[in-house]
Amino acid sequence: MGAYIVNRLWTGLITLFLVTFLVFGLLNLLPGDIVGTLMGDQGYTQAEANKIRHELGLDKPIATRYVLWVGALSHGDFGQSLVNGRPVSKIIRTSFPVSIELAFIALIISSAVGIPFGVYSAIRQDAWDDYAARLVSIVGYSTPAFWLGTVVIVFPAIWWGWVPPLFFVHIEDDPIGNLGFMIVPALVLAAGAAARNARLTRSQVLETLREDYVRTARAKGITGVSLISRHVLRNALLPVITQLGGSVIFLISGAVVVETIFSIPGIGTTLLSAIQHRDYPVISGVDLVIAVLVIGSHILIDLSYKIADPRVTY
Amino acid sequence: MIEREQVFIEPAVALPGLTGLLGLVNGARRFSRRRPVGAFCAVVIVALLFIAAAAPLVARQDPLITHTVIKLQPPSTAHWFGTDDLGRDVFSRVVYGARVSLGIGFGGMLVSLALGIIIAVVSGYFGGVTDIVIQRMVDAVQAIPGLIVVLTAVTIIKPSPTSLFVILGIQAAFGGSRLIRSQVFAVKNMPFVDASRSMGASHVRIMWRAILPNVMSLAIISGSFNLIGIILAEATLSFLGQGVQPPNPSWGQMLSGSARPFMVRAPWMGLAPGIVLTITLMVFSLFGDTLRDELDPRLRGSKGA
Amino acid sequence: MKDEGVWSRASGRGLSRRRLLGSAAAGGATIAGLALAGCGGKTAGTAKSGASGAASKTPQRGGTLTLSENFQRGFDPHILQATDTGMFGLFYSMLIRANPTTYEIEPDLAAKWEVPSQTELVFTLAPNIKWQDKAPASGRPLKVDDIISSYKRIQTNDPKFINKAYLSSVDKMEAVNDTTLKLTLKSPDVTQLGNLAVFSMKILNPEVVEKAAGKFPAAESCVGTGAFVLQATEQNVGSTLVRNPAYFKPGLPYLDQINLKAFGAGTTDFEAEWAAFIAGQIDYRWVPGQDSQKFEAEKKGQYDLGWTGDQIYFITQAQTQKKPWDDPRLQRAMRLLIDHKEFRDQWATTWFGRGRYSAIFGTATADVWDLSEDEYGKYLEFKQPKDDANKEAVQLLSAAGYTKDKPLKFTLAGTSGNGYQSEMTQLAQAQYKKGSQGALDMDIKLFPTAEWATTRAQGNFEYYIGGHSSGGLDPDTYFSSTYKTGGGRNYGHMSDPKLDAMIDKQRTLFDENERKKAVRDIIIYMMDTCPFGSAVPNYILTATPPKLRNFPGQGPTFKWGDHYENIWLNR
Repeated sequence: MGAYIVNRLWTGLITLFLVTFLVFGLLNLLPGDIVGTLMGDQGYTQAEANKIRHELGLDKPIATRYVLWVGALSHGDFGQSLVNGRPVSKIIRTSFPVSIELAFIALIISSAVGIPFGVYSAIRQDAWDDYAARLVSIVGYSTPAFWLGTVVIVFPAIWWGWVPPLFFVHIEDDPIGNLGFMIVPALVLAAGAAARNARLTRSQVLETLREDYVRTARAKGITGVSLISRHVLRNALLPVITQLGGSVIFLISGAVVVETIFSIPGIGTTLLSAIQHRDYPVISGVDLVIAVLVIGSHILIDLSYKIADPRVTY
Repeated sequence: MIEREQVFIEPAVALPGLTGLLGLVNGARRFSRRRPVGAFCAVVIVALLFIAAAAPLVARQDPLITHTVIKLQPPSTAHWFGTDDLGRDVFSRVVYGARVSLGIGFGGMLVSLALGIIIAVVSGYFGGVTDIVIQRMVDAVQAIPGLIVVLTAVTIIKPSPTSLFVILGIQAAFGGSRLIRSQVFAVKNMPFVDASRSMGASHVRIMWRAILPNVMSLAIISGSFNLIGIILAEATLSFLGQGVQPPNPSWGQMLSGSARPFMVRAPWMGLAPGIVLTITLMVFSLFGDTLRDELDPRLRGSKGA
Repeated sequence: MKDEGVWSRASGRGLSRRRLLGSAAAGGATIAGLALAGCGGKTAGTAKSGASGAASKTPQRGGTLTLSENFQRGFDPHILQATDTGMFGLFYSMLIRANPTTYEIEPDLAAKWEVPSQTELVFTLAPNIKWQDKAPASGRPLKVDDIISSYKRIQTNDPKFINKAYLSSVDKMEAVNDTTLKLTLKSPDVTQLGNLAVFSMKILNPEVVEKAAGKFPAAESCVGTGAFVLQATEQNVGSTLVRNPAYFKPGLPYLDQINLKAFGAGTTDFEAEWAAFIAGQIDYRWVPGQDSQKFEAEKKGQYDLGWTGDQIYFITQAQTQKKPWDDPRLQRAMRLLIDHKEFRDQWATTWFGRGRYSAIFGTATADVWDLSEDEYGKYLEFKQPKDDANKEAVQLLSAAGYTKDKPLKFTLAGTSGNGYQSEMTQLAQAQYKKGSQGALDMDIKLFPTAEWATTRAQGNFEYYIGGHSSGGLDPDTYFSSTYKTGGGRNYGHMSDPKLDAMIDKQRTLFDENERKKAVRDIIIYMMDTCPFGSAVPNYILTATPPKLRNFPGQGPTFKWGDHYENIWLNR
């Protein structure tokens, strides 16, 4: 087991380097660079552009820039934004926790709503309330988040003169206010995620219900809640948990649209803006943190499989 | 015991007979009696596909012709879904948009399904070094934020529907493969697989006959998530300005484009593609469920054979 | 004696005002007291409905104002384009500035100025100007040398300093004494004074500049002489500003605090911003075109409504360095195919509420300098119905070798940054297609905002339509930046020596009537010869809650941040 962990960590590190280098390479393929943003609307000559690029160190070959970046990282220096000079570490420090908080709240809501929904739906398979429940979940995840979000903001304003809180406050300054700010976008995000969880749970529970050991338990007279909780859920939920793990990452880095509409200063909008401006230091820094999260969570999940089901061999 | 193995190893028996047209018709009739909802969804899907394919026949007007004098009109007999801010017929745009959205969705889903299953089955079945290498690659691809991958790819390659579904499909494949892989682990250690191996079956045969059918249900669920995810991703890309270029309509582009500013003044601009999109995703999901229930005999409910 | 009156305006409006105040004594015009009276110029200018009567009530002290703004590019105005620096006027000052309603030039740091000759400008600073009490300036008095060092910095020979052109005529700058600045020009140039009022010409503190070494990301690096002190700022969240107790204009500002909130990151989310205004979460917002009719009809009592001119217009540029776009027949055909009436009555009305005909100006400038709409209607390009223009266009295209059977295939570029830009591009495409009867076959490519700047600046397009601004109100800012050979915004690289000469000439005309005529002649000349065209510029409907007095206004593309000391809340 110990050897396994070490092995995973070591290969994880290699993957990390691979990822970050890949991103460097990808960015290089993108046409255009920061010069357009810096020069504003003004036309500029190639000479002027080259001068700026030289100042920012953008004219060095990728390999060199990569090595320099890794070197700076080892000192804890993530570089500075090309757009306004802000330290990247500060940008990450301020925007990541916001996204994580949002994802976390959305995750809790979507699990708390979605999983029980799915279990109920499975138990009542093919009955009318199964169909009703599935309909609700499908509508839930087929409505684009940006649409739902805009509706939530615009219509109450017109009808009742009310908007959900649109101004961000830090959790350390005002926890209640912060929660109030996060709850509406989290609900919007959770709507889709809850529906997905419900569907997956339903299918997993259905499968497990047909398993031999479940039939055995039923034959022994175990029914209802105890059947579900003790025999079915543990096996049914394994893939669901995998999915949850994946969805956290998605929620963090994929919630760009919700962040834009609700003015949430999270990592999604930071990344989007950085990509559009070709702000390489910010993109690389954000990508590094996301990569660590993704690889880390994969390692944890694989470990949990190993612990839960020793039959599983790698 | 043997009966179940046979069922597992020879799932082909469970499919309705495909020989002969009569067989097909009979099969369809039996199917619709067994699964009325699924059959209904199938009909709707066929109708949607037909509408998409025959768009020029179904649409009442050219979706691109602007006629600003009649802009922002509510639904009427002349314009079933009303007109947008440039006076274009929303119904015709929804019909033509079906081509793009369904094309991207389907294409992407197929790509993601095929690629995802291959990755998951190969990686999970062989285990060991193969698994480690493949999974690190999956990690790497997943670790790059989807936004970067897709936006970069779309910027380099012109954002046509083809390039979009390939890119989105590949992206979804990697993401969904882990789920399928977890199921592969559960299946590959089951006794009947050992039995097959001891009987001398080749790896390919085992993967195809034993592993694949048993991960199919999860794969289909994953695939249907992907279908929806891909169509929504296209909508999000349009919101970020990188999707299908106007004035060619796609549902995602219609939803995220001028429909938002006019949400109050002309709600039909957003409701039309939105409702059609929801219905489409709905029938695909329900049909996917039905298909999966059919293919995996373990999951047949009380109404199953 | 030259007409000093023209020196008092950023644009030529206000002839009657000059007469009202009496012509100045020989030696210079002074427009003192315009801003110092605390009026903010709401009594003249565009018509406003509803009770605004700034002069009728006594300003009250105190209160907090909440608005939408996201500082994303740091706090160095010298390297930003003018439209990005509007709100910097909250904490930075300029030598002179333009009035938001009359567009006349007003004192700011300079209390008065004189024009001893056509190549000399002499400014006398207001008394008691102090830098804000933040290190390292720490409240010390402003020196004339501070202004000179900022102007010199603007002229830095580094491509990042994109505002050099606004000081292009200045030869020498000297501090005559502790309170007097003298600028000597290279040659007579009537526009140089107005250029000093462009938003980016803010005066920065030299110690801060030195310490910052080119990077101005944080609130600490933001030290000015303005009415409000930037206390805290967080990107994508918001900023807090407090009253500057040592502000040099006595009794001002009235407000205690200003809170700025960010809506969205990168680009502002208009829908959320508008909803917030309706719900009373922010105190001011321009009205989106989609709601303007309803607002005018229903909300007259609840808000002070008024139409103001905007500083952007929508230009079409042909990339004359790429064939076949150097063919004047093709260029003219493209201009003729645009249906300005449709743009004005359908597109501009939908998105902004109102538009007007103008070939090359934003409405703020057009209202003063441009041909009237009736006059425009006489030219083939603007004539209705479009049949004659389209027929001519088809003939020109055919002569250039393009017909329905052999159409010209190209990509029409635009930007996806805003809903109205995307729709404008689609409408243009539809007009081109329809009018050319198939001789033009184009697809559209919309670029996101960040790439749009590069695409245009590098000339990577064949033909594009997009929003365009000049950075200033004076017609010369439009001519020199966009239509003159080598202009900073002349992305299509058009070059017409005759036009260049006309542009140079009008800079030297100090007689207002002469200058106006010269500008009109340029517009008319360009009607037939210019490879660039345009759609229609827009007005903005502004809705001010009655409690908010003297609000200078803002639109989607610019904000008059430098008049906020006059704002007061009627509680």
